[in-house]
Amino acid sequence: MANINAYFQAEDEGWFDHPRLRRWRKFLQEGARLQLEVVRPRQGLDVGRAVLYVTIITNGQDLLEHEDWSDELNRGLIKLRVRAISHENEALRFGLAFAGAFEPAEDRVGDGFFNSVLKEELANGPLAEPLADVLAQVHALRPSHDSKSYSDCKDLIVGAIRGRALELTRDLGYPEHEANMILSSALAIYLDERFSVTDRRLLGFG
Amino acid sequence: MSIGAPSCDVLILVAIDAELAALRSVGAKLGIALEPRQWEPLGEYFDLGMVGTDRVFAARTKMGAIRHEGSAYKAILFQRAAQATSIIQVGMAFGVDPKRQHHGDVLVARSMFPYDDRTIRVTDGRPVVDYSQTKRRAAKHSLVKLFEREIERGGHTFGAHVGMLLSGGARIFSAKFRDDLVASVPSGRDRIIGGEMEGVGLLSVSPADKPLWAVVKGISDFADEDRDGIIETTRPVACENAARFVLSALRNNLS
Repeated sequence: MANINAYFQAEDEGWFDHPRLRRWRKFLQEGARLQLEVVRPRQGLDVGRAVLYVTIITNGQDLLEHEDWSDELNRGLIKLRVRAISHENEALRFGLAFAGAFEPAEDRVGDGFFNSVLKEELANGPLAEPLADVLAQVHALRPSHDSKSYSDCKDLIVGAIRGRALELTRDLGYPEHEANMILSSALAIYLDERFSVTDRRLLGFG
Repeated sequence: MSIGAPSCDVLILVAIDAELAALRSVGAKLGIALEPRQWEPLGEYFDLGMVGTDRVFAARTKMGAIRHEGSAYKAILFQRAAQATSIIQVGMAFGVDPKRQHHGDVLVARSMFPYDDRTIRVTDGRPVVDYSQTKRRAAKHSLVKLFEREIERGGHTFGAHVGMLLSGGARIFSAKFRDDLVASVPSGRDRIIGGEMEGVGLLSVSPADKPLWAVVKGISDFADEDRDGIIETTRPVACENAARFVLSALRNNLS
């Protein structure tokens, strides 16, 4: 009979509870190389489900595995230092990740206030210039700075962006200028999706 | 953005005259006007202005999810056009437990079960409904939290239940059909609290892992043989309670 203590053995940092992540980590430990491609097909207004395709390059062979997008799997792949195949694909990956990263802020304050603080923070922050075009298509009122929730919301938003920035530099090893580019493109993707910017244009509303 | 194209944070959808009337009536009592507006691509909608910290629009759909101008059609178009980041379907529903629920209680969907999405098999020569492949769909997390905070705040004269709503195209006047339907749905994290007809249309607005919707409905009946005899009395109360709950939740947010 299995020893019940096996249930209580700690995993490193708790990042690898998902069996897929443990499998991919094992490949890495055995000397394989992993590469990620995030695929999210779009046909007009129809945006398909995001899928994580992981190529395992080992012993001269390429194995391809895939899973539906999940924040858990993505975070695990970041901790395994697995980069996406291109800067553009990395931006898509982080654009998808921002939805989960911003959720605590949105849960805390609700849609309208979150939309307002987010737009203000991005319009006045270090990425204002690369985000100017998409922010011009986002419509939100200016938030009240007197609200007791303003600083909480702003801190949660900045924290979410800072967390992704550190993942790009510390975990995935991108130099800062590349990380900035990826981060701004990722935020643009997130904003486009949240505020239906492309959809609106396709429908002739914007 | 083209000049004059309006936008909102929250879009409220209602399906029948009584639901719109209730939203208007409750709005008036809470000091929230429903200003009628025309927007050429989409037709009539209502601007509620700022409710709490949200810019809110409301629109009327036809009853049901899949007919022309039903909830699916309007939700997709309005959400994209107005940049709404949340959609709340408000109105009336049936309850499933006459012993623990009351007419007028408000049902908040934490999840939805699309009961028309099913496989019909044959067992012992008889057709059997198989829901093993049917997926529950989660409501937008921040909206559920908003409504849970409103429930905690208290102060309403009606009860509130949070759980899973069945959603589909049947107009049900049979307690046996209702109970068989409830029994045939596999149990999950959320208990079944009721059923309605428009919520399932909201599932087409966004991917399942990024829901934009919530459904809040008042119990007008229990989908049984007594329904027709009571509905004229219970319908307005159910609709008013749902409208009051949602508008109060939005107005009280961050206050």
